[in-house]
Amino acid sequence: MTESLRVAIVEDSTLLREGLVRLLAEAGFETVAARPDATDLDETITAAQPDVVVLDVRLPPTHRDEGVRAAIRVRATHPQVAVLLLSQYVETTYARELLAAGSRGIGYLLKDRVTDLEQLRRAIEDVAAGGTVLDPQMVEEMLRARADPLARLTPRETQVLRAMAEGRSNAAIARELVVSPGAVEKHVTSIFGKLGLEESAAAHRRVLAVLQFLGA
Amino acid sequence: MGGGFDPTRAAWLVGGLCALGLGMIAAFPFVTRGLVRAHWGLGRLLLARFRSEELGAEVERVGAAQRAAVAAEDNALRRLERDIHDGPQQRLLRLQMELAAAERRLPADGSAAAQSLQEARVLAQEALDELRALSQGFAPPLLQDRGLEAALEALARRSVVPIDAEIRLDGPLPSPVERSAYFVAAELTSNAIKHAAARRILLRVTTESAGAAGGPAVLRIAVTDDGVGGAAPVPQHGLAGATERLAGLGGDLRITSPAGGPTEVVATVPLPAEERGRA
Repeated sequence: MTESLRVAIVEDSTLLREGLVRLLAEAGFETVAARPDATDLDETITAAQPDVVVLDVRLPPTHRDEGVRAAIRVRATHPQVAVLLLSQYVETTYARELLAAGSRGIGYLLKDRVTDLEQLRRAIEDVAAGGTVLDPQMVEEMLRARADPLARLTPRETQVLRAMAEGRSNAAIARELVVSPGAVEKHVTSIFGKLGLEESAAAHRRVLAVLQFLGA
Repeated sequence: MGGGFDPTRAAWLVGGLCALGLGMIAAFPFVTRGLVRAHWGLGRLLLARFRSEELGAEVERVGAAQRAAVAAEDNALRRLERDIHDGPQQRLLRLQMELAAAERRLPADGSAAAQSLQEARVLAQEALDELRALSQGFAPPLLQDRGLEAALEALARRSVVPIDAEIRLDGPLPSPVERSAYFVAAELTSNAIKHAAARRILLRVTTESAGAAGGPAVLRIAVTDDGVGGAAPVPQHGLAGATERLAGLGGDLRITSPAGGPTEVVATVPLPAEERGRA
Protein backbone atom coordinates (compact mmCIF):
# COMPACT_ATOMS: atom_id res chain seq x y z
CA MET A 1 0.00 0.00 0.00
CA THR A 2 1.61 3.26 -1.14
CA GLU A 3 -0.51 5.73 0.79
CA SER A 4 -2.25 5.15 4.12
CA LEU A 5 -6.05 5.08 4.12
CA ARG A 6 -7.85 8.20 5.34
CA VAL A 7 -10.38 7.54 8.07
CA ALA A 8 -13.04 9.75 9.68
CA ILE A 9 -14.42 8.78 13.09
CA VAL A 10 -17.88 9.61 14.42
CA GLU A 11 -18.17 8.51 18.06
CA ASP A 12 -19.88 10.44 20.85
CA SER A 13 -17.90 8.98 23.75
CA THR A 14 -14.69 10.98 24.16
CA LEU A 15 -13.09 7.97 25.81
CA LEU A 16 -13.68 5.73 22.82
CA ARG A 17 -13.06 8.41 20.22
CA GLU A 18 -9.58 9.01 21.63
CA GLY A 19 -8.98 5.29 21.91
CA LEU A 20 -9.98 4.79 18.28
CA VAL A 21 -7.71 7.61 17.08
CA ARG A 22 -4.75 5.94 18.77
CA LEU A 23 -5.70 2.50 17.53
CA LEU A 24 -6.05 3.69 13.93
CA ALA A 25 -2.66 5.37 14.12
CA GLU A 26 -1.16 2.13 15.41
CA ALA A 27 -2.83 0.25 12.56
CA GLY A 28 -1.21 2.66 10.11
CA PHE A 29 -4.27 4.70 9.07
CA GLU A 30 -4.56 8.45 8.95
CA THR A 31 -7.42 9.93 11.00
CA VAL A 32 -8.61 12.96 9.05
CA ALA A 33 -11.60 13.84 11.25
CA ALA A 34 -12.98 12.80 14.64
CA ARG A 35 -16.48 14.06 15.41
CA PRO A 36 -18.88 13.47 18.33
CA ASP A 37 -22.03 13.37 16.15
CA ALA A 38 -23.15 12.94 12.56
CA THR A 39 -25.01 16.21 12.11
CA ASP A 40 -22.38 17.79 9.83
CA LEU A 41 -21.06 14.54 8.39
CA ASP A 42 -21.72 15.64 4.83
CA GLU A 43 -19.52 18.74 5.23
CA THR A 44 -16.91 16.74 7.13
CA ILE A 45 -16.64 14.23 4.29
CA THR A 46 -16.44 16.98 1.68
CA ALA A 47 -13.73 18.80 3.65
CA ALA A 48 -11.66 15.87 4.97
CA GLN A 49 -12.05 13.47 2.01
CA PRO A 50 -11.91 10.21 4.00
CA ASP A 51 -11.78 6.81 2.31
CA VAL A 52 -13.65 5.22 5.22
CA VAL A 53 -16.06 6.61 7.81
CA VAL A 54 -16.11 4.71 11.11
CA LEU A 55 -19.50 5.36 12.75
CA ASP A 56 -21.02 4.56 16.13
CA VAL A 57 -24.67 3.43 15.92
CA ARG A 58 -26.03 5.37 18.89
CA LEU A 59 -25.27 9.05 18.46
CA PRO A 60 -26.69 12.34 19.69
CA PRO A 61 -29.27 13.80 19.72
CA THR A 62 -31.59 10.82 20.39
CA HIS A 63 -28.97 8.09 20.95
CA ARG A 64 -31.09 5.57 19.06
CA ASP A 65 -30.00 4.60 15.52
CA GLU A 66 -28.56 7.86 14.14
CA GLY A 67 -25.42 6.04 13.02
CA VAL A 68 -27.37 3.61 10.84
CA ARG A 69 -29.31 6.42 9.23
CA ALA A 70 -26.15 8.47 8.73
CA ALA A 71 -24.45 5.45 7.11
CA ILE A 72 -27.34 5.04 4.66
CA ARG A 73 -27.16 8.77 3.86
CA VAL A 74 -23.41 8.52 3.21
CA ARG A 75 -24.04 5.62 0.81
CA ALA A 76 -26.38 7.88 -1.15
CA THR A 77 -24.42 11.14 -1.08
CA HIS A 78 -20.84 9.80 -1.21
CA PRO A 79 -20.97 6.33 -2.77
CA GLN A 80 -17.17 6.26 -3.08
CA VAL A 81 -16.76 6.50 0.73
CA ALA A 82 -16.85 3.20 2.62
CA VAL A 83 -18.67 2.96 5.96
CA LEU A 84 -17.81 0.81 8.97
CA LEU A 85 -20.41 0.81 11.75
CA LEU A 86 -19.26 -0.05 15.25
CA SER A 87 -21.81 -0.84 17.93
CA GLN A 88 -22.15 -2.34 21.37
CA TYR A 89 -24.96 -4.48 19.96
CA VAL A 90 -25.25 -6.02 16.55
CA GLU A 91 -28.80 -5.84 15.23
CA THR A 92 -29.62 -7.91 12.17
CA THR A 93 -32.38 -5.39 11.44
CA TYR A 94 -29.77 -2.66 10.95
CA ALA A 95 -27.55 -4.97 8.92
CA ARG A 96 -30.44 -5.67 6.56
CA GLU A 97 -31.13 -1.96 6.10
CA LEU A 98 -27.48 -1.23 5.43
CA LEU A 99 -27.19 -4.04 2.91
CA ALA A 100 -30.41 -2.92 1.23
CA ALA A 101 -28.70 0.45 0.63
CA GLY A 102 -25.94 -1.39 -1.27
CA SER A 103 -23.43 -3.91 -0.01
CA ARG A 104 -20.34 -2.29 -1.54
CA GLY A 105 -17.94 -0.92 1.06
CA ILE A 106 -20.13 -1.60 4.08
CA GLY A 107 -19.11 -3.04 7.42
CA TYR A 108 -20.86 -3.63 10.74
CA LEU A 109 -18.86 -4.87 13.70
CA LEU A 110 -19.28 -5.27 17.42
CA LYS A 111 -17.14 -2.65 19.18
CA ASP A 112 -15.34 -5.39 21.12
CA ARG A 113 -13.64 -6.48 17.89
CA VAL A 114 -11.49 -3.36 17.75
CA THR A 115 -9.28 -4.67 20.55
CA ASP A 116 -7.96 -7.07 17.95
CA LEU A 117 -5.88 -4.67 15.91
CA GLU A 118 -5.50 -7.07 13.00
CA GLN A 119 -9.26 -7.55 12.77
CA LEU A 120 -9.86 -3.79 12.77
CA ARG A 121 -7.16 -3.23 10.16
CA ARG A 122 -8.58 -5.94 7.91
CA ALA A 123 -12.13 -4.64 8.30
CA ILE A 124 -11.13 -1.11 7.31
CA GLU A 125 -9.04 -2.29 4.37
CA ASP A 126 -11.81 -4.62 3.20
CA VAL A 127 -14.57 -2.02 3.24
CA ALA A 128 -12.25 0.53 1.64
CA ALA A 129 -11.69 -2.00 -1.15
CA GLY A 130 -15.46 -2.26 -1.64
CA GLY A 131 -15.99 -5.40 0.43
CA THR A 132 -18.69 -6.27 2.95
CA VAL A 133 -17.69 -7.03 6.54
CA LEU A 134 -20.27 -8.38 8.98
CA ASP A 135 -19.66 -9.31 12.58
CA PRO A 136 -19.27 -13.09 13.05
CA GLN A 137 -21.89 -13.01 15.82
CA MET A 138 -24.44 -11.48 13.47
CA VAL A 139 -23.68 -13.90 10.65
CA GLU A 140 -24.11 -16.77 13.07
CA GLU A 141 -27.46 -15.38 14.25
CA MET A 142 -28.70 -14.98 10.68
CA LEU A 143 -27.59 -18.48 9.74
CA ARG A 144 -29.02 -20.10 12.85
CA ALA A 145 -32.47 -18.68 12.15
CA ARG A 146 -32.30 -19.85 8.53
CA ALA A 147 -30.72 -23.23 8.81
CA ASP A 148 -32.61 -24.64 11.72
CA PRO A 149 -35.63 -26.26 9.97
CA LEU A 150 -33.13 -28.72 8.51
CA ALA A 151 -31.58 -29.30 11.92
CA ARG A 152 -34.96 -30.51 13.17
CA LEU A 153 -35.08 -33.40 10.70
CA THR A 154 -34.39 -36.84 12.14
CA PRO A 155 -31.27 -38.60 10.84
CA ARG A 156 -33.55 -40.87 8.76
CA GLU A 157 -35.41 -37.91 7.29
CA THR A 158 -32.10 -36.24 6.42
CA GLN A 159 -31.09 -39.45 4.63
CA VAL A 160 -34.36 -39.40 2.68
CA LEU A 161 -33.98 -35.72 1.82
CA ARG A 162 -30.41 -36.28 0.65
CA ALA A 163 -31.63 -39.06 -1.63
CA MET A 164 -34.36 -36.74 -2.92
CA ALA A 165 -31.70 -34.13 -3.66
CA GLU A 166 -29.88 -36.76 -5.66
CA GLY A 167 -32.98 -37.03 -7.82
CA ARG A 168 -34.35 -40.40 -6.65
CA SER A 169 -37.99 -41.43 -6.64
CA ASN A 170 -39.71 -42.69 -3.49
CA ALA A 171 -39.53 -46.26 -4.80
CA ALA A 172 -35.77 -45.96 -5.40
CA ILE A 173 -35.25 -44.45 -1.94
CA ALA A 174 -37.26 -47.30 -0.37
CA ARG A 175 -35.05 -49.84 -2.11
CA GLU A 176 -31.87 -48.05 -1.06
CA LEU A 177 -32.88 -47.71 2.61
CA VAL A 178 -34.53 -51.15 2.64
CA VAL A 179 -37.88 -49.86 3.88
CA SER A 180 -41.41 -49.94 2.46
CA PRO A 181 -42.50 -47.22 -0.02
CA GLY A 182 -45.17 -46.33 2.57
CA ALA A 183 -42.47 -45.57 5.15
CA VAL A 184 -40.66 -43.32 2.68
CA GLU A 185 -43.95 -41.56 1.93
CA LYS A 186 -44.35 -40.91 5.67
CA HIS A 187 -40.83 -39.50 5.97
CA VAL A 188 -41.39 -37.25 2.97
CA THR A 189 -44.63 -35.88 4.44
CA SER A 190 -42.86 -35.23 7.73
CA ILE A 191 -40.00 -33.45 5.93
CA PHE A 192 -42.48 -31.19 4.12
CA GLY A 193 -44.10 -30.40 7.45
CA LYS A 194 -40.84 -29.58 9.20
CA LEU A 195 -39.71 -27.38 6.36
CA GLY A 196 -43.01 -25.53 6.48
CA LEU A 197 -44.05 -26.42 2.94
CA GLU A 198 -47.81 -26.05 2.48
CA GLU A 199 -50.09 -28.85 1.28
CA SER A 200 -51.32 -26.82 -1.68
CA ALA A 201 -47.90 -26.63 -3.28
CA ALA A 202 -47.74 -30.45 -3.47
CA ALA A 203 -46.28 -30.55 -6.97
CA HIS A 204 -43.39 -28.30 -6.06
CA ARG A 205 -42.76 -29.33 -2.51
CA ARG A 206 -40.19 -31.90 -3.50
CA VAL A 207 -38.22 -29.31 -5.40
CA LEU A 208 -38.56 -26.72 -2.66
CA ALA A 209 -37.39 -29.16 0.01
CA VAL A 210 -34.34 -30.04 -2.06
CA LEU A 211 -33.57 -26.36 -2.69
CA GLN A 212 -33.73 -25.69 1.03
CA PHE A 213 -31.45 -28.65 1.64
CA LEU A 214 -28.95 -27.25 -0.81
CA GLY A 215 -29.12 -23.88 0.90
CA ALA A 216 -30.34 -22.08 -2.20
CA MET B 1 -108.69 54.30 72.63
CA GLY B 2 -108.76 50.45 72.70
CA GLY B 3 -107.90 50.24 68.99
CA GLY B 4 -105.41 53.00 69.27
CA PHE B 5 -101.68 52.81 68.74
CA ASP B 6 -100.02 51.14 71.68
CA PRO B 7 -96.28 51.80 71.53
CA THR B 8 -95.53 49.08 74.03
CA ARG B 9 -97.35 46.36 72.05
CA ALA B 10 -95.81 47.52 68.81
CA ALA B 11 -92.39 47.34 70.37
CA TRP B 12 -93.09 43.78 71.50
CA LEU B 13 -94.37 42.82 68.07
CA VAL B 14 -91.35 44.24 66.27
CA GLY B 15 -89.08 42.61 68.82
CA GLY B 16 -90.86 39.27 68.41
CA LEU B 17 -90.68 39.40 64.63
CA CYS B 18 -87.03 40.29 64.73
CA ALA B 19 -86.31 37.41 67.09
CA LEU B 20 -88.20 35.04 64.80
CA GLY B 21 -86.29 36.32 61.78
CA LEU B 22 -82.95 35.93 63.52
CA GLY B 23 -83.96 32.48 64.69
CA MET B 24 -84.82 31.47 61.13
CA ILE B 25 -81.57 32.85 59.81
CA ALA B 26 -79.66 30.99 62.50
CA ALA B 27 -81.54 27.76 61.76
CA PHE B 28 -81.12 28.12 57.99
CA PRO B 29 -77.85 26.15 57.64
CA PHE B 30 -79.19 23.31 59.74
CA VAL B 31 -82.43 23.16 57.84
CA THR B 32 -80.59 23.24 54.52
CA ARG B 33 -78.18 20.59 55.58
CA GLY B 34 -81.02 18.45 56.84
CA LEU B 35 -82.87 18.82 53.57
CA VAL B 36 -79.75 18.04 51.56
CA ARG B 37 -79.19 14.96 53.65
CA ALA B 38 -82.78 13.91 53.15
CA HIS B 39 -82.37 14.45 49.41
CA TRP B 40 -79.10 12.51 49.33
CA GLY B 41 -80.65 9.71 51.39
CA LEU B 42 -83.60 9.56 49.04
CA GLY B 43 -81.32 9.55 46.03
CA ARG B 44 -79.20 6.87 47.63
CA LEU B 45 -82.28 4.77 48.26
CA LEU B 46 -83.66 5.31 44.78
CA LEU B 47 -80.45 4.90 42.81
CA ALA B 48 -78.41 2.73 45.17
CA ARG B 49 -75.24 3.70 43.31
CA PHE B 50 -73.06 5.45 45.76
CA ARG B 51 -71.26 2.29 46.91
CA SER B 52 -70.31 1.17 43.45
CA GLU B 53 -69.24 4.67 42.52
CA GLU B 54 -67.01 4.82 45.57
CA LEU B 55 -65.61 1.40 44.74
CA GLY B 56 -65.19 2.40 41.15
CA ALA B 57 -63.25 5.47 42.16
CA GLU B 58 -61.13 3.35 44.50
CA VAL B 59 -60.43 0.81 41.76
CA GLU B 60 -59.53 3.66 39.45
CA ARG B 61 -57.16 5.08 42.08
CA VAL B 62 -55.50 1.70 42.65
CA GLY B 63 -55.27 1.13 38.90
CA ALA B 64 -53.69 4.54 38.38
CA ALA B 65 -51.20 3.90 41.19
CA GLN B 66 -50.31 0.54 39.68
CA ARG B 67 -49.84 2.04 36.22
CA ALA B 68 -47.72 4.79 37.73
CA ALA B 69 -45.55 2.17 39.44
CA VAL B 70 -45.13 0.22 36.19
CA ALA B 71 -44.32 3.43 34.34
CA ALA B 72 -41.75 4.39 36.97
CA GLU B 73 -40.15 0.96 36.68
CA ASP B 74 -40.07 1.26 32.90
CA ASN B 75 -38.47 4.68 33.13
CA ALA B 76 -35.87 3.49 35.60
CA LEU B 77 -34.95 0.47 33.48
CA ARG B 78 -34.60 2.54 30.32
CA ARG B 79 -32.41 5.01 32.14
CA LEU B 80 -30.36 2.18 33.61
CA GLU B 81 -29.80 0.71 30.15
CA ARG B 82 -28.58 4.10 28.87
CA ASP B 83 -26.39 4.60 31.91
CA ILE B 84 -24.79 1.16 31.55
CA HIS B 85 -24.30 1.83 27.85
CA ASP B 86 -22.78 5.28 28.33
CA GLY B 87 -20.80 4.52 31.49
CA PRO B 88 -19.30 1.14 32.38
CA GLN B 89 -19.60 -0.34 28.88
CA GLN B 90 -17.60 2.50 27.32
CA ARG B 91 -14.99 2.33 30.06
CA LEU B 92 -14.64 -1.42 29.74
CA LEU B 93 -14.24 -1.11 25.98
CA ARG B 94 -11.52 1.48 26.41
CA LEU B 95 -9.92 -0.66 29.10
CA GLN B 96 -9.85 -3.56 26.66
CA MET B 97 -8.29 -1.37 23.99
CA GLU B 98 -5.54 -0.32 26.39
CA LEU B 99 -4.91 -3.84 27.64
CA ALA B 100 -4.69 -5.13 24.09
CA ALA B 101 -2.32 -2.29 23.18
CA ALA B 102 -0.11 -3.10 26.16
CA GLU B 103 -0.11 -6.75 25.17
CA ARG B 104 1.01 -5.84 21.66
CA ARG B 105 3.91 -3.85 23.07
CA LEU B 106 5.19 -6.75 25.14
CA PRO B 107 7.32 -9.37 23.44
CA ALA B 108 5.32 -12.51 22.78
CA ASP B 109 7.55 -14.66 24.97
CA GLY B 110 4.89 -15.99 27.32
CA SER B 111 6.20 -13.85 30.18
CA ALA B 112 4.16 -13.58 33.38
CA ALA B 113 3.30 -9.94 32.60
CA ALA B 114 1.93 -10.87 29.17
CA GLN B 115 -0.12 -13.61 30.71
CA SER B 116 -1.57 -11.28 33.35
CA LEU B 117 -2.53 -8.79 30.67
CA GLN B 118 -4.22 -11.44 28.63
CA GLU B 119 -6.17 -12.65 31.64
CA ALA B 120 -7.19 -9.08 32.46
CA ARG B 121 -8.45 -8.60 28.91
CA VAL B 122 -10.48 -11.80 29.06
CA LEU B 123 -12.02 -10.62 32.34
CA ALA B 124 -12.90 -7.26 30.83
CA GLN B 125 -14.49 -9.07 27.87
CA GLU B 126 -16.54 -11.26 30.20
CA ALA B 127 -17.70 -8.24 32.17
CA LEU B 128 -18.75 -6.60 28.89
CA ASP B 129 -20.63 -9.72 27.79
CA GLU B 130 -22.42 -9.89 31.13
CA LEU B 131 -23.41 -6.25 31.03
CA ARG B 132 -24.68 -6.67 27.50
CA ALA B 133 -26.74 -9.72 28.42
CA LEU B 134 -28.02 -7.90 31.48
CA SER B 135 -29.31 -4.86 29.62
CA GLN B 136 -30.62 -7.04 26.81
CA GLY B 137 -32.67 -8.80 29.48
CA PHE B 138 -34.46 -5.72 30.74
CA ALA B 139 -34.32 -3.31 27.82
CA PRO B 140 -33.62 -4.81 24.38
CA PRO B 141 -31.75 -2.11 22.42
CA LEU B 142 -33.93 -2.42 19.33
CA LEU B 143 -37.05 -1.90 21.46
CA GLN B 144 -35.40 1.20 22.92
CA ASP B 145 -34.25 2.51 19.57
CA ARG B 146 -37.11 1.62 17.24
CA GLY B 147 -40.14 0.67 19.31
CA LEU B 148 -42.36 -2.39 19.61
CA GLU B 149 -43.07 -3.19 15.97
CA ALA B 150 -39.40 -3.33 14.93
CA ALA B 151 -38.48 -5.31 18.05
CA LEU B 152 -41.22 -7.90 17.46
CA GLU B 153 -40.31 -8.28 13.81
CA ALA B 154 -36.69 -8.90 14.81
CA LEU B 155 -37.88 -11.39 17.43
CA ALA B 156 -39.79 -13.28 14.74
CA ARG B 157 -36.83 -13.26 12.36
CA ARG B 158 -34.43 -14.49 15.02
CA SER B 159 -36.63 -17.43 15.98
CA VAL B 160 -35.40 -20.93 15.21
CA VAL B 161 -39.00 -22.00 14.52
CA PRO B 162 -40.63 -19.90 11.79
CA ILE B 163 -42.84 -17.18 13.26
CA ASP B 164 -45.33 -15.34 11.08
CA ALA B 165 -45.65 -11.92 12.65
CA GLU B 166 -48.73 -9.83 12.05
CA ILE B 167 -48.37 -6.54 13.83
CA ARG B 168 -50.97 -3.81 13.54
CA LEU B 169 -50.53 -1.03 16.04
CA ASP B 170 -52.72 2.01 16.02
CA GLY B 171 -50.12 4.65 16.81
CA PRO B 172 -47.38 4.56 19.44
CA LEU B 173 -48.14 2.85 22.75
CA PRO B 174 -47.15 3.91 26.26
CA SER B 175 -43.60 2.70 26.75
CA PRO B 176 -44.36 0.41 29.77
CA VAL B 177 -46.96 -1.34 27.59
CA GLU B 178 -44.41 -1.71 24.78
CA ARG B 179 -41.86 -3.28 27.06
CA SER B 180 -44.35 -5.69 28.65
CA ALA B 181 -45.84 -6.59 25.29
CA TYR B 182 -42.37 -7.40 23.97
CA PHE B 183 -41.44 -9.66 26.86
CA VAL B 184 -44.86 -11.35 26.89
CA ALA B 185 -44.59 -12.07 23.15
CA ALA B 186 -41.05 -13.39 23.65
CA GLU B 187 -42.14 -15.66 26.49
CA LEU B 188 -45.23 -16.98 24.71
CA THR B 189 -43.35 -17.79 21.52
CA SER B 190 -40.41 -19.42 23.30
CA ASN B 191 -42.89 -21.41 25.36
CA ALA B 192 -44.56 -22.68 22.18
CA ILE B 193 -41.16 -23.74 20.85
CA LYS B 194 -40.00 -25.37 24.08
CA HIS B 195 -43.12 -27.12 25.32
CA ALA B 196 -45.48 -27.52 22.39
CA ALA B 197 -42.92 -28.74 19.81
CA ALA B 198 -44.40 -26.18 17.43
CA ARG B 199 -43.26 -26.16 13.82
CA ARG B 200 -44.91 -22.90 12.93
CA ILE B 201 -46.08 -20.04 15.07
CA LEU B 202 -48.41 -17.17 14.32
CA LEU B 203 -47.81 -14.05 16.38
CA ARG B 204 -50.51 -11.41 16.10
CA VAL B 205 -50.17 -8.17 17.99
CA THR B 206 -52.96 -5.68 17.44
CA THR B 207 -54.52 -2.67 19.09
CA GLU B 208 -58.29 -2.77 19.25
CA SER B 209 -60.20 0.43 19.80
CA ALA B 210 -62.81 0.84 22.51
CA GLY B 211 -65.87 -1.30 21.87
CA ALA B 212 -69.42 0.00 21.54
CA ALA B 213 -70.02 -1.17 25.11
CA GLY B 214 -67.57 1.49 26.26
CA GLY B 215 -64.80 -0.96 27.20
CA PRO B 216 -61.24 0.34 27.06
CA ALA B 217 -59.06 0.08 23.99
CA VAL B 218 -56.84 -2.98 24.33
CA LEU B 219 -53.59 -4.40 23.04
CA ARG B 220 -53.97 -8.06 22.07
CA ILE B 221 -51.02 -10.41 21.82
CA ALA B 222 -52.14 -13.71 20.32
CA VAL B 223 -49.74 -16.62 19.82
CA THR B 224 -51.03 -19.64 17.94
CA ASP B 225 -48.91 -22.72 17.34
CA ASP B 226 -49.36 -25.98 15.52
CA GLY B 227 -47.78 -28.00 18.33
CA VAL B 228 -49.05 -30.86 20.44
CA GLY B 229 -51.63 -28.89 22.42
CA GLY B 230 -52.90 -30.05 25.79
CA ALA B 231 -51.35 -27.11 27.65
CA ALA B 232 -52.85 -26.54 31.08
CA PRO B 233 -55.78 -24.09 30.93
CA VAL B 234 -54.31 -22.13 33.83
CA PRO B 235 -51.02 -20.33 33.34
CA GLN B 236 -48.32 -22.64 34.64
CA HIS B 237 -44.80 -21.92 35.66
CA GLY B 238 -43.72 -21.57 32.04
CA LEU B 239 -45.82 -18.46 31.72
CA ALA B 240 -45.33 -17.05 35.20
CA GLY B 241 -43.32 -14.08 33.96
CA ALA B 242 -45.92 -13.15 31.36
CA THR B 243 -48.75 -13.49 33.89
CA GLU B 244 -46.93 -11.23 36.33
CA ARG B 245 -46.18 -8.59 33.72
CA LEU B 246 -49.78 -8.57 32.55
CA ALA B 247 -51.12 -8.29 36.08
CA GLY B 248 -49.02 -5.16 36.58
CA LEU B 249 -50.86 -3.52 33.68
CA GLY B 250 -54.31 -4.84 34.55
CA GLY B 251 -54.19 -7.32 31.68
CA ASP B 252 -54.83 -11.05 31.55
CA LEU B 253 -53.89 -14.27 29.79
CA ARG B 254 -56.19 -16.90 28.27
CA ILE B 255 -55.11 -20.30 27.01
CA THR B 256 -57.01 -22.55 24.61
CA SER B 257 -55.18 -25.80 24.07
CA PRO B 258 -57.11 -28.94 23.17
CA ALA B 259 -55.07 -32.16 23.12
CA GLY B 260 -53.51 -32.43 19.66
CA GLY B 261 -53.46 -28.64 19.25
CA PRO B 262 -53.59 -25.99 18.07
CA THR B 263 -52.72 -23.95 21.13
CA GLU B 264 -53.76 -20.35 21.27
CA VAL B 265 -52.61 -18.05 24.04
CA VAL B 266 -54.09 -14.57 24.10
CA ALA B 267 -52.81 -11.78 26.31
CA THR B 268 -54.86 -8.64 26.65
CA VAL B 269 -53.67 -5.32 28.05
CA PRO B 270 -56.14 -2.45 28.52
CA LEU B 271 -54.94 0.87 27.15
CA PRO B 272 -56.23 3.71 29.33
CA ALA B 273 -57.34 6.56 27.09
CA GLU B 274 -55.35 9.20 28.98
CA GLU B 275 -52.16 7.20 28.68
CA ARG B 276 -52.12 6.77 24.94
CA GLY B 277 -49.02 8.15 23.31
CA ARG B 278 -45.42 7.47 24.14
CA ALA B 279 -44.33 8.75 27.52
